[in-house]
Amino acid sequence: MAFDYIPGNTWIHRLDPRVKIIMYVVFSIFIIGYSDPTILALLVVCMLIIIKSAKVPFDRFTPILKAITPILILYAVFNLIGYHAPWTPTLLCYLFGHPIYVETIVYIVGMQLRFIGFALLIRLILLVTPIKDLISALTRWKLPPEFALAMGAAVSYLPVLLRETQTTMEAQAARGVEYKTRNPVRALKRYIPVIIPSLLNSLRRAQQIAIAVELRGFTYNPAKRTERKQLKYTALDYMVLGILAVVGAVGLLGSVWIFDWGNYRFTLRLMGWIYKTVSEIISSIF
Amino acid sequence: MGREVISIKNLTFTYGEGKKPALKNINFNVREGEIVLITGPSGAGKTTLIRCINGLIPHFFRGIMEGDVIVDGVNTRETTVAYLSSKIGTVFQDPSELLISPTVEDEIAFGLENFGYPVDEIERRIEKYIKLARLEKHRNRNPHTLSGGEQQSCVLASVLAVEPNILLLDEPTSNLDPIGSRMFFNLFAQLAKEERKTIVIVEHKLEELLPVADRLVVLYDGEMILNGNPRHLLTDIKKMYKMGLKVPDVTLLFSELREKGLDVKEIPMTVEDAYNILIKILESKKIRPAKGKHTNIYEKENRKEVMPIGNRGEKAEHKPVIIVRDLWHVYPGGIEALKGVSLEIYPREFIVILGQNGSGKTTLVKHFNGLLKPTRGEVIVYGMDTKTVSIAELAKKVGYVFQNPDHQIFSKTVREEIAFGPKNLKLSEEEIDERVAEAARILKIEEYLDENPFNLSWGLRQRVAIASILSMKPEVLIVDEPTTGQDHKTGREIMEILCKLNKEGITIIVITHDMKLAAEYAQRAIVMKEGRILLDGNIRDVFSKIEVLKEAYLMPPQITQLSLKLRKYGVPTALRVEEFIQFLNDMGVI
Repeated sequence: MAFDYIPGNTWIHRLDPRVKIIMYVVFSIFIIGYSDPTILALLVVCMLIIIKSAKVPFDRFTPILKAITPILILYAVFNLIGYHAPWTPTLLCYLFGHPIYVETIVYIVGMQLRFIGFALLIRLILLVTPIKDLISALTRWKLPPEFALAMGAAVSYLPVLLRETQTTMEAQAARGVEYKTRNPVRALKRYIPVIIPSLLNSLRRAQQIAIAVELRGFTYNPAKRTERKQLKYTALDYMVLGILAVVGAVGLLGSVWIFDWGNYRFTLRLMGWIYKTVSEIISSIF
Repeated sequence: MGREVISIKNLTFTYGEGKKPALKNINFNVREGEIVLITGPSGAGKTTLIRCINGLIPHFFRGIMEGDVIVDGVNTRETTVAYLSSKIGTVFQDPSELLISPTVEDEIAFGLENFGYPVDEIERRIEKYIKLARLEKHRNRNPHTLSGGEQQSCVLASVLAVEPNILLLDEPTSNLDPIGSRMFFNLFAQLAKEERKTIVIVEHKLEELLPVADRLVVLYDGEMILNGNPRHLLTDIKKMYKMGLKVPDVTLLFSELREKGLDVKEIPMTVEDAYNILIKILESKKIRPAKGKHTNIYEKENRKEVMPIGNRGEKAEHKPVIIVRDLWHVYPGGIEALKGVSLEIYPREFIVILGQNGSGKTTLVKHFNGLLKPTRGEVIVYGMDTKTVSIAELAKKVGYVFQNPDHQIFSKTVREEIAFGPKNLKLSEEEIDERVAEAARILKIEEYLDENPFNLSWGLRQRVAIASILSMKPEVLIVDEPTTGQDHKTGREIMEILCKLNKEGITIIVITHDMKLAAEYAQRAIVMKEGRILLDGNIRDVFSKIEVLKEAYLMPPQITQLSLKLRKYGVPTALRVEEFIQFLNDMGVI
């Protein structure tokens, strides 16, 4: 399940949801702004430290990591064949007669770390923040109450819709549908008896929600609605905000101004430098 | 009684797409603090009436509305649903329709936030109503993950939190299991006593509500045919029974007895009252309670046929079609749903499986067609170990009709829907056509074969669902809660169809909460509790073990309870009202 909040009382749980959203944005700046594997690896390590300190069991991340594995592999294969560095690349070796360049490998690792970073980030935020807190944070930032309501309802109905789809799958299996097939077109066709009832059910649910919203007085006077959840920043929030501001600014500037960092050439130079130093040391010994 | 809070004048309503009015010329008033019970068969216009009171008609559902509905001095046409909802709280049959917040606390707060209450008042009311609904433990849970009874309590708490003075309850317990219903009725009784709210409740289950209702309104085909104090209307009980309403057994019994010439002054509604009246009658006929071991009249006469009416299983000489041996099932997450279940099912049996939600009924039957595989133990279906064969293979032998037809219907026509299963079995065109025709004939839906199933009524859609399983010609048919949320007549119609199929040689297994229908149709009953079988046997024997049934939170029908209370007078266990009358006849009482 995508919205399984794990209750806890660590520093990250105690953060104001608004700070958590800002944290999400800052991490995203790094993930989007950098493609250099060294920097992204540092970022992933940083996230692992936060996960550890939030006392979230790591197995909660395995499903999403498993889900992105095929993407990672496909990405690697396509780029090994199709990627061309914008300058003269360094040859590493030949694979089935196809040249493999150092640049290609570094580029692929960088992009894969991006995927992994994003996957961990989304999971982490949702595991340590109840969805209603995220919604009240957004409402505080002038998100119209209608949107907040829609988001809340979507989240609360998710288990219902999943349960109903499961039931439909079982009902059709009892009528002799076998879902397992290797032919993707046939597989899609076999899912039609599942997709249609599920779709119609969610439409029916949508109308019910519209009625429920009316009957519970939502349209009474939306402008004068009370927001029960009062958000207030604490010292911890200010501290984390400060750190995030500095880190975010440095990250943004680094990405924009120090071009080498924003590109994976930083890792290449680092590798070049390590290679040079090591070979110098070796040659000085012999 | 206080002032009028709801007044309905010459109300007629026709839905936008409808040709026939759903309500015809309704007139009635509700006074403050009154409890009004509205009943009537499916399609009588009960839900439409509720929608007219809370303003969903004319503001949400389109159609032609004539006449007026005045709530607390305000004409519903001239205001909004949101405004009316500050005065009227509405609760539906399916609680999940009204739950829209991520947590129970937020759910209770939702209405209060909408009406702009200050934060500390909202917090105070959350605490008050979360306690009333006994949901303190679940305050941070997603309401949709609660049990049915808890969900309905959550809806009630969040509706009450706004402190409306009128409550509209549209079949609030129809989707709940017996514990859930009892939980809700207890809360309801408390409210009626302490809060003096005006309550308008639509219900099929009259037994629980007739004794507390101040007024009974009966709708039939859009018209109000009865309206008055329930005690004065009890003489019309037979009329209501013939309309397909679920009237209390004892009330029906006494109106029959009166017709047969027995001098009955007052017609009772509860088992207790009926018992007290009956013992007086028995004593006047010189029938006294036996001391020590009591035998019933038939045993005394040494007749072989103890039960004059009712079915008896014919297991002995046949080989079982389904064998379950020490079956355990553990769901992911470690929930033990079945803990060592063993049973045998014989050809041509008609079995009901009873028990609370979560007692393992559905988990058990899902093993019969391989939807679930045993964690431990084994399930043998027609000699096949379910672990080694596919669901599709088992589907040829064991058919499974799910509770909600909308979870499976997907075709453009009824014909295609019924043909889907046989097509999956890779049968020839002619064979498929033949089977579709036959299934449609048995379920009496031939005239709808070329219609779009989505345009049919719920009852017809359910028949389409049964036909689409029947066309696969299973030898065992499992039906999951076919009567939940339907009136007694519709429930009976479905049971009649199953009974007919049973006579044609199909083994029937029905999961149900309806003890009355179970008593009327089944031969064998299996009672489950917490993943184990509590009772298994002839339904008459099972229903006479009232103390064990109570452990599973079940109650046999009123008439069975009454006959058990009178056991010491020599009355055998009765499953139906007609039987009971027969007993009294044979005992020489009437």
